[in-house]
Amino acid sequence: MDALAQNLVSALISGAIYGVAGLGFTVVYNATKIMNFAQGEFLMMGALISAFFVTSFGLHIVLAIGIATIATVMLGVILDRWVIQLGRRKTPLNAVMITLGAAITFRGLAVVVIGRDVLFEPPFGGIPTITFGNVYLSSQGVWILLMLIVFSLGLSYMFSKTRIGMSMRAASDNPRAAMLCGIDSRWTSTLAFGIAAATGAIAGAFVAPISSAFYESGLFFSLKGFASAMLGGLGNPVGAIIGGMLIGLIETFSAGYLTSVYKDAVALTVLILVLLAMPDGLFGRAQVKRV
Amino acid sequence: MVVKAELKAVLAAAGIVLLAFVLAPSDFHLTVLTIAALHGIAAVALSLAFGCAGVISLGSAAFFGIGAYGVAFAVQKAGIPTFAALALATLLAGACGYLLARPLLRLDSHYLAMATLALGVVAYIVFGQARPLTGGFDPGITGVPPLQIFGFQLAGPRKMYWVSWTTLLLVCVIGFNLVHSARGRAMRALRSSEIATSCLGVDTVGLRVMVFSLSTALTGLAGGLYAFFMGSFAATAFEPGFSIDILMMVLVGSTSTLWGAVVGALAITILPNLLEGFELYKLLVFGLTMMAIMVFFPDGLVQSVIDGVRSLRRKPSEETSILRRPGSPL
Amino acid sequence: MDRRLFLNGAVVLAISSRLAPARAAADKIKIGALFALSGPSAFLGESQEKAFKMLVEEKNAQGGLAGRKVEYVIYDTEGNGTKAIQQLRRLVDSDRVDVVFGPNTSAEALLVKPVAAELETPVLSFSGAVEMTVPPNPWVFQAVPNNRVAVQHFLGFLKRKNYKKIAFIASTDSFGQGGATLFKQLAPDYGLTIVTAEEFGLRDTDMTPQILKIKSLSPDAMVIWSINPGPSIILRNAKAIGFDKAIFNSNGVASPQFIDQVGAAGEGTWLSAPRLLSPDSLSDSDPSKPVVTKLYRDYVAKWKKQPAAFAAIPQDALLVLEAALKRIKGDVTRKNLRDAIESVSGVVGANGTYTFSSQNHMGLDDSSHPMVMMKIVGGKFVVEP
Repeated sequence: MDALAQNLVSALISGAIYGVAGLGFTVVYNATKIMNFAQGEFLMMGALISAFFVTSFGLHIVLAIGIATIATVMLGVILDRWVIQLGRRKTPLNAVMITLGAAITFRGLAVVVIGRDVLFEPPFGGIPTITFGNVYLSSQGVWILLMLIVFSLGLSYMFSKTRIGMSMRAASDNPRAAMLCGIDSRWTSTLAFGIAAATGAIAGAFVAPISSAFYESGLFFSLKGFASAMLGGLGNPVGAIIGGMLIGLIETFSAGYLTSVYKDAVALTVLILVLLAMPDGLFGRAQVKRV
Repeated sequence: MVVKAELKAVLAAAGIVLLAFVLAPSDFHLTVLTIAALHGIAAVALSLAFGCAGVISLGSAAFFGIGAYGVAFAVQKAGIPTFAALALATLLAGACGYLLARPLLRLDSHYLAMATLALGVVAYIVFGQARPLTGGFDPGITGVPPLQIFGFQLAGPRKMYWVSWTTLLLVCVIGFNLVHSARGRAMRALRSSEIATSCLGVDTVGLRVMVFSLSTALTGLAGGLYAFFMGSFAATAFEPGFSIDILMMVLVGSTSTLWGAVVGALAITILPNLLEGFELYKLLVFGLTMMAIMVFFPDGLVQSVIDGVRSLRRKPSEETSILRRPGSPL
Repeated sequence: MDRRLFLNGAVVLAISSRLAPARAAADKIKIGALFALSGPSAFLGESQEKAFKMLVEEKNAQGGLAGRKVEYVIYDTEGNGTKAIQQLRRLVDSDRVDVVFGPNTSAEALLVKPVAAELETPVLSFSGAVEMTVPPNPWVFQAVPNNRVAVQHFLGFLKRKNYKKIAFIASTDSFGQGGATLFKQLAPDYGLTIVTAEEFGLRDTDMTPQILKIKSLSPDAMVIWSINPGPSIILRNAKAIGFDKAIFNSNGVASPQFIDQVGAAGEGTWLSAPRLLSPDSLSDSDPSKPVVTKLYRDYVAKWKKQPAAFAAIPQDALLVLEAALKRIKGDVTRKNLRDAIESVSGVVGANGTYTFSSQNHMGLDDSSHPMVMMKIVGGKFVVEP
């Protein structure tokens, strides 16, 4: 029983990270219809840059995360405003290719600026380990869950109640009509990338004390993020988080009770099966097919 | 039937292949070109799937791997002669594609891409972990004998260069044949409007399944040749990044013509070798180059060259639009 | 007309460049190195590359290896076999090296094996895979502790300490798999039972499920076979759930940073490592002590940080090469270099004593004790006899 509960806790924490990665991906997709393959790199950069400043310069963790977030957001904004929007043909496929190239570029930038070492950041501390009987929730795990809650509430508030959020939704639904209302879809798209970069960077920094920071972890985060977003239904932010949690659960319980070797494969196979049965994901909105 | 212009292009390509062989300074260069050809086969296969079935597959590496492992099993465990093994592996990859096609093709484009990505990762994990079958990452498959056709042993870069490029050109011919056939036209019609095409009585699903299976079979063929060429390999060769590389080859080269896939394969296989000198900056330069190509040549390199040649050829006096004054920029 | 001349010239150049024999001048030796500097095995390749460059510089300052200046070309294979094969041919055909060092990982090294024979170039491989030298290949040598030897040493230690029921957990990459296969294969010979063999991915963030399972089986000891960060995460997970049995790590974590990374959770745990990790605590009667201590001090002086234990490998390879070169008078060809390496014997390196022969391309064997078992005590590595 204890083992079950402990596994549940592990699943929750992994799921939280996957969910936030999926969230960033969804925000960009909703605003621009682009599948951002550089999403995982935002997490990687958040982790690596903050770990770098903490270990090499002894900066306080809050400052390090701040720098990492600002740097990542700048790169995300440049990617959208000056690279994707500069492209002459703005089909989503073209944009996807650009984000793929951007992912490689960010990785290459990390190598040049920070290096190829695996960096270890110490846990944030501040919150004690929570124990229920024999089951423990690590301090860092609490931070990660808090972050998830803050992001979920914050983004849902932003999209439903604030002008900026509603402008973004308007621009993605119908760019021309939005423009007639004075909403520039170019800026909403950049804003989306900025949000994705910020949430990604912070999530990466929060998970770095557990899993270490390494310039090649971007692909891993991207994959989990996509899977979460797809499972929950592309375009649905709540779906992305639930999708992330589900994938965390499937992986953890496969590892604990089935086969630790194939746990990622099990999760992905479940994803494929779900998509085959429910082509719009668990909570996806039905796509209107072009006639 | 293949259009005359394209047949001429194939012959010209064959000539270039011969020239490259003669001029190549060393076996190293031939090795790189051989690998480029194998990648090219996979890229052409992907281009066919995209152009004729509307599939963006991020799982090419899985079928490449099926072809490679298929050859290894057939030769090492079942004692099947090499050429037959290659045929079997190709069929196996095609069969896998066929089984997956119908359920997969119901998915919308984004979900389809994700599903193929997931497939690729699952295949990679299985390749890497099913150690009794595949040898996993360590040691992997070793000791695959060279390909033998009619008693000729085809070992080493000098011979495999010819095998791989001949196969690539044959695959291109098959591809052009398909694109220009009645079925191919139906498929292209399908891309612009699936509903209209099915109203014309075309079995759209059946077409797409067929093209997808053909695409996976050809990718498996490339994988099988890879196994013969390398002699040994491990699951690391079929990582998801490889699938993404193949997609990049198609998009960088151009999706509008199969030659795009060939050019893209050459570019992306040769580029890392050129960048060796950059050491630490290798990745950064590669990424920036990719982005630059996609921003400045969004239709791909080949199409951009074709457009460029066309616009050079067109003189202002031949401008047909009555709304433009002669002498104005095109 | 000009075109034909050019074409003819090109053809002649192409043909003649193929006919030129591989021959180095008597005062130079060119080494080609294939290291995995990125990708999952970068950890191994990076420290080896740094050590290699440092050692070559040092040797050249002293007049070279056996009086021959060393030139080198290094390529990053990214742990990718397809790239490795292209780079190997580039080293041999374009760069015209006399000998190849590397590659690091088993998969790449096994790939290189047949090609080395085709290209007739001696290769001093840095992979510990048993299959590198069994069956023997006339051109491939092994300059590292063979994986089988490493595992046997490990198992011998476990047996001596009377740990009978072992829980094994490994990463799913080539390093982990290699260890897992050998461990499972050889454990019965030492009277040990493996109660379970768990696995985890290199990038996984939490191994609690696997540890819980292991804990429920009550083994005498847990053996972890992986490079970082996996073991650090496992040790912390284990401590958090109160796993109190002996924990052993493989040489995958043999780096000075490990103690910092794992923190308090590492106290009292063991690891198998090459001597370079802690030269000070070696016994004075250990013949490798002077070589190891010197390498350690030089590395720290040059790179301002401690070497990972894998750095000893290029050192030993260079020592072997030097001994071989001493036997060659005049021009070095790939063939006479290979023959010379085969006749090297009794070279004392950081990882043990090397002796080759035409039948034995393995260099080290069990009697050389390439690994020692260390324990983390008071935040330091201490060698256990």
